[in-house]
Amino acid sequence: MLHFKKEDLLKIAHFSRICISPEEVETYEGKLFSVVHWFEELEKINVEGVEPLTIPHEDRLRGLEDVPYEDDIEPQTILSNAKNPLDGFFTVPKVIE
Amino acid sequence: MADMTRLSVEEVRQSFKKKDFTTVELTEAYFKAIRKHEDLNAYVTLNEENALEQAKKCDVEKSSCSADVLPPMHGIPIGLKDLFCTKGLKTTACSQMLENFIPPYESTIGEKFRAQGAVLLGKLSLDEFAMGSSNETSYFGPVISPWKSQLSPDIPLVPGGSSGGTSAAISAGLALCATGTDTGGSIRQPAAFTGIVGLKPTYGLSSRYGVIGFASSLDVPGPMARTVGDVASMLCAMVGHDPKDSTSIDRPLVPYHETLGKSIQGLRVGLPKEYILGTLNAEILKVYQDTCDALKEAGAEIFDVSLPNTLAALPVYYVVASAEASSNLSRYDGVRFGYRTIKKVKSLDEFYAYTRQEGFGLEVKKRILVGSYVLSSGAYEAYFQRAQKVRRLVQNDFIEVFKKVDVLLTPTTPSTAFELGGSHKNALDMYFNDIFTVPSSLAGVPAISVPCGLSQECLPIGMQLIANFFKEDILLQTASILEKVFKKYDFNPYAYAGGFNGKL
Repeated sequence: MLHFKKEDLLKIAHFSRICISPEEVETYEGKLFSVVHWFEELEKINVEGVEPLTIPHEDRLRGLEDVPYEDDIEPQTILSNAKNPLDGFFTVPKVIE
Repeated sequence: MADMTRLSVEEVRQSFKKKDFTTVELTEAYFKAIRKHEDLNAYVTLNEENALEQAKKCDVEKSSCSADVLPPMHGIPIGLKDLFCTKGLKTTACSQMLENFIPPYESTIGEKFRAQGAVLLGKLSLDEFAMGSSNETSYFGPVISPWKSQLSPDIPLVPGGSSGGTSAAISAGLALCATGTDTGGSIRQPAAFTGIVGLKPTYGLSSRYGVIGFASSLDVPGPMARTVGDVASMLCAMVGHDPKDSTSIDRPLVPYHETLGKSIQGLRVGLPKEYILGTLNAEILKVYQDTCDALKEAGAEIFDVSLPNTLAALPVYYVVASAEASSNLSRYDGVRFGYRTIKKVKSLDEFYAYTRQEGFGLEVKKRILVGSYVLSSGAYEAYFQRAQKVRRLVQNDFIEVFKKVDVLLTPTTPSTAFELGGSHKNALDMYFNDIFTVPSSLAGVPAISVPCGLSQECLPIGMQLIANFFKEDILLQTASILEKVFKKYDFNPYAYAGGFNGKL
């Protein structure tokens, strides 16, 4: 079975796009190690020939129709929760000098 | 007249008919109670002005037609867990990430209550993004249970979680009933801790549209209230096929009230041996036995049964729920809505990473990290896929057992409500609160928690009934029998303010 290491923590923090400070590394390292170690209990169970279950009613799942919703939400309403919208667009901070 | 804020839906409807009070008077009484118990911190956002306006509208409608033609939830003061999007009213998931988020649309369930003329009192607190079992991870501070231990009345207790604002408010009489969401026990555990009734419907029976997602293959919105009848009323209002939710199931509507109070003669009740752990609290075991005796007395047949993969359910749940959370919460990047860092950044990646570091709380970040790990290459097969396979074994256990029995009886929680800040000794302690509720969540079957006893400290103890897919009617019928038997306990937290002895 796999073992959770500090390098794994830094790697998954990057995957998750979550910055973690050196103090947080210490906090998370122990917590995550014990959680992942606990997951190893699943290794004891024989799952040979068992299909994964992704959702309780997998046989009843259906796709949504590929048509736009006919609702009346104005672009301005959609932008109302965004920081610094400009000319009807979302914006991000300037990162190029 | 009895305290207006402790009446049931049916009692309120009868009072409206007799003109004992108006919807406005009832709504005002609830806001008065909310202000009196502000210290519980149950509400995140109040909706007072709109609620009174809606109450006035209800009174006008009542004066112009017969009460019998009005929808069952008309004029009923309700709360919504702050995970349900409310158009024009702040919806935060109790996270700094959504501190000022005002949804441009309404959840399907919120819309159904609005359409029936329910009066929305406000939005109720929860653990941040519904991740927790004590309502201590809310960005807006913990919720305090209205219940006090008679042995140490000065120590605040948790109301359970994640629907802890909902459970505290209903128990304290700050909402007649309210919605919760249940991913691994978040309706049933807080219901058990506060002496109220909480139902997790079959997965797919109630729409998730407009409910902020945590783990999409597990999340189920459901009703919480002080009585089984109120839960049935809410369930009737909440369910129904929703084309906006691809996991919503199209089934004929069931009149859930029809089975309430009906005989359970011949009902087959299973007692799963894996749920009676050696470490189970003796008082909970005693109430479990009392409940079993009550069912037997009412004509049920009792069988010992086994769900062999029960103990594996908890690690499976935390693998699956964390993986789905890491995916669901990737949308919070500070661009279109929500919290945004003000740090000077050198790249967009840095912008996302600081935004998410600052905007999410510790427990949420921990689960995102765990979720990203179990989904990463190398760990995917070993953890995530294996967990999904064991999930099928857990579901198969339920499918098999329901060929032999109609209902399973288990305790809802391994303990009564614990002290605020009292369950953080290690990373796993809090997770074990969900040990009895998680298996049915993984399987997708419905389950209900009903208050069935009080501990020596005078804290409520809830019992859980689990049934086969879409058998909510049997759950409510059985729960209504238990409610009648255990009516001798008053599950009002303020009934024992002067002491426990002599009240029973």
